[in-house]
Amino acid sequence: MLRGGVRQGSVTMLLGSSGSGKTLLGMQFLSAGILRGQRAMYFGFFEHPDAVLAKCQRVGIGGLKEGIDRGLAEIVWHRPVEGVVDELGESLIETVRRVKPHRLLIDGMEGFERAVDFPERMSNVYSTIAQELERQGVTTLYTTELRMLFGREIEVPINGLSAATQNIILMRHIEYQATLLRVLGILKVRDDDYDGRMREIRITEDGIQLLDTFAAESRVVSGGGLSPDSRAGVTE
Amino acid sequence: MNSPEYAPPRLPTGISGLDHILDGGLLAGGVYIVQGPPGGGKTILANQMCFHQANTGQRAVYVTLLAESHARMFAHLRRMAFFDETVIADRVYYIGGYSVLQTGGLDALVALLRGAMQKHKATLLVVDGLVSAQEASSSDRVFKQFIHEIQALADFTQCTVLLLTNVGRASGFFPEHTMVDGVLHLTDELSELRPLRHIRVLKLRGSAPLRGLHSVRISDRGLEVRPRLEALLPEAPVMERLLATADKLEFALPELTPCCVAECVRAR
Repeated sequence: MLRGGVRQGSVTMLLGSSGSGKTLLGMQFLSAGILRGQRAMYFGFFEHPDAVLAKCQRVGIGGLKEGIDRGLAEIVWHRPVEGVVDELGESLIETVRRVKPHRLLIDGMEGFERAVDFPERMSNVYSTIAQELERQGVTTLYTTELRMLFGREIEVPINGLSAATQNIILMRHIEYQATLLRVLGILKVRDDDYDGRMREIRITEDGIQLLDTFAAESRVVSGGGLSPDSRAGVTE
Repeated sequence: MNSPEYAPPRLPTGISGLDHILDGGLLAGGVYIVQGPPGGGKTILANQMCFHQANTGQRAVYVTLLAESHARMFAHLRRMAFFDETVIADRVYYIGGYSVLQTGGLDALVALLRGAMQKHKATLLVVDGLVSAQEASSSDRVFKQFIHEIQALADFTQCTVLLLTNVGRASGFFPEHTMVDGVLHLTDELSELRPLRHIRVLKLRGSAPLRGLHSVRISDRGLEVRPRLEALLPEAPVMERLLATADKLEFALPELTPCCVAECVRAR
């Protein structure tokens, strides 16, 4: 779908509803790097990193613990209520400068917003962070929560950051034949070709799988009811 | 002295974020007002600077013009990491100036300050409770004369002076502000139940401070200052880097990022 991946040095938004698999996809990205000997960094706010790592282990996203042990991966976690945005930003920037990761996952970008003293600062704070990541040449994925679980509107929640975001991957739940499915689609890839079809995403013990469930469907992205005709043959 | 390389000697505060905001520290021999509400952190800031002087082999004098005893202040400071009882009366001297001011007025106070600065060869003098000196002044002119005498003392001895005061408004006209080398303003406010402390440099002669509000945290580690994130980095133009030719980083998910490399398939 991404025609080979995300460009080195780019910033990608993983926009998705709660439970849509954003964190796991981000961890999969880190894991793929670690398995190739690249340095990875996780910077999170909400879910405790031990829980994230345990979840990765359960679904077969490997290499993370080994990466940490081998000094290839670094995990930084802040409780979102702790401190002010300047401390969090400083922590992110300092760790990036020290670790020099090839791949960075910022899990829950909203964590910065929770800690801001004056909301009108956020856009400047984000562009400061984005500039520094660009300067360091880090390839960044950040997750952010889609506020609406279902619905036709998709609001990109973070101002000031979208300008510095080259790619957007959308992940959400849809109702399909009285079943909730997780889907993934590419919303934007700057200056590059991509496959715009939505795919079902399945998280199993063997890792993340993307399926061609909706080959014959329309209107998947808005999460509304789909025509009940037929579910396309699952191909892999 | 006029060569472009000449930079007036500075007195670092020892609080790294604050020194950054202050463009390296205060001027040696400068006079500064530190203002803020009660509980805003003025006393902690000033004491922390005194102990920093002691740690760098220099001396500081702390003069209180308030009726409150030093014991109460120490009880509060004792939990701070910077507080080191062993240097008190050796490198950091505490002097009560309240009764001298009450009985002898401003002249007696100036004499006390002069004596303490010279006797201890202090590089930092703190006057806590400037408002008491203001109340002891019969007119604005007398108060300004007092500030002027402190300036002359500071300049002569190259001792930096901090004047702590509760009068903590960021705006409004204070004649003493026009006289001193800098004004640091501490605030302590609530934002939706969350306490927020900030520091702001209202004035700083001979320096290019980072302007605006910077966050302050007070804990057992003392007072910490975090420069506003967006003020820290150079305002480089945001240049769209040529990503189009950069290598691609894959996810090791064949359907998402079709794999060309055999190792990718193996990794699964």
